[in-house]
Amino acid sequence: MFSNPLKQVAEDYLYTNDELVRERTKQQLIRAGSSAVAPLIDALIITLRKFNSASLGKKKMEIFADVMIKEGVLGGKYADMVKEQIRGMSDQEGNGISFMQAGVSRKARDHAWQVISQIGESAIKALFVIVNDRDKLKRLTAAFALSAEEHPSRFVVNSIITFMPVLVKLVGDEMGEATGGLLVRTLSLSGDKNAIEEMSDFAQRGDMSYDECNEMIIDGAIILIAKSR
Amino acid sequence: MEVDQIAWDYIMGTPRDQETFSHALIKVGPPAIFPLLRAGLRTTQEFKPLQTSVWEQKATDAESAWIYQIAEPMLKSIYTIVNAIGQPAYDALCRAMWERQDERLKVLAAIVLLQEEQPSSRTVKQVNDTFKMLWENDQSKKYVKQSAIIVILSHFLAHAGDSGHQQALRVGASQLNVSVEQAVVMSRNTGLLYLIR
Repeated sequence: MFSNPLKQVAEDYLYTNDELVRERTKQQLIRAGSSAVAPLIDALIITLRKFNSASLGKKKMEIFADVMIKEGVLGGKYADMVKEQIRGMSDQEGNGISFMQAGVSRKARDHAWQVISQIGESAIKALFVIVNDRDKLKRLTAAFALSAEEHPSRFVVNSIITFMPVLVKLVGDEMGEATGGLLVRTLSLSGDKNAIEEMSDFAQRGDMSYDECNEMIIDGAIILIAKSR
Repeated sequence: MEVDQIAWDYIMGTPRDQETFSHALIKVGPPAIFPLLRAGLRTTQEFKPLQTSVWEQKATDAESAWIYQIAEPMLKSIYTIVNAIGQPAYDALCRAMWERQDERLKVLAAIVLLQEEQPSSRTVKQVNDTFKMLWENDQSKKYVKQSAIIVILSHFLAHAGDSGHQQALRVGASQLNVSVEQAVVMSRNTGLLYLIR
């Protein structure tokens, strides 16, 4: 059985704290073009699982937080909030999602998206092939990677619209709905009126503000991916 | 950068990118029109609605999303440049219907023209000439694609005040049991769907 060498490169890229390693692996992935996308999504799943604070003990969380603060991933008031949260954790394990998990998972997502957006349209196409995959986890993770884009281009918007009717069929399935939520959220950032309306309805039903709803969709996806097996 | 690439990047860009690329295209002037039409056709092909065989997706739902959320913004983007360049751009659109062999490009040029609410008398005359030329050609060849252009141009001329075309539009709308406005949208949508069939 042959393993894809890009898989290890993608894992190293997303998980490393060493900026030199990050840059070297990033360039390797960019050079690989759209074939880097599938390994990146697999690596993102693995990375999010590693960052799952619900499965980490308090001690590991402290070590992890120290590294993150030292590396500048978490700074200022967020560093204090994370420390405070870890102090309040039981010795065994945390529950739900911590600030740190939310932060570092987003960071990994942003790194994945940096490579995809730098490769360009061919990589975005490859990402949407995964969005249309039968594997629900991969589909969700691809939509999660896309959620790093705060100013979607028409290419991204059109790609979402093309796949949207398929996702409507996924209502009732937790990962499917989370995928749809992420895509609607990205669509709403482009100013799409229907998507904004849908987000507002969703926020109202959940008794949340619009911004909270935005963040909740991201956190929900992180939890689902991180706890997946 | 090639004008074709600029045109594609303009249609596919973020709002900020679109602003940057629109300046470049307006600067290019009428030679930007054919690249824009080609980029528009590429958009229709790249984001074709899903087929009915995909997960029991209804073709009509996918087509409707494609028309209103993909094709309409693309038309709006092209029209923005045409309108900003002015008369030479309208001339280029009319030329596209005369000179080009690509039927899809002709249909797209006609649909872009249909967006104009206040056409100049020069454009109206050119469209009228184009209509007559296509009509004469159509006498022996009953192509659906040619008819699509003819219907769209007829709607354009009706909107420009031609009483004969206005009457034809009213008759067509009443046969379909819809309003005149709805009939125009239906013809435009049929023309758009022709681009992906």
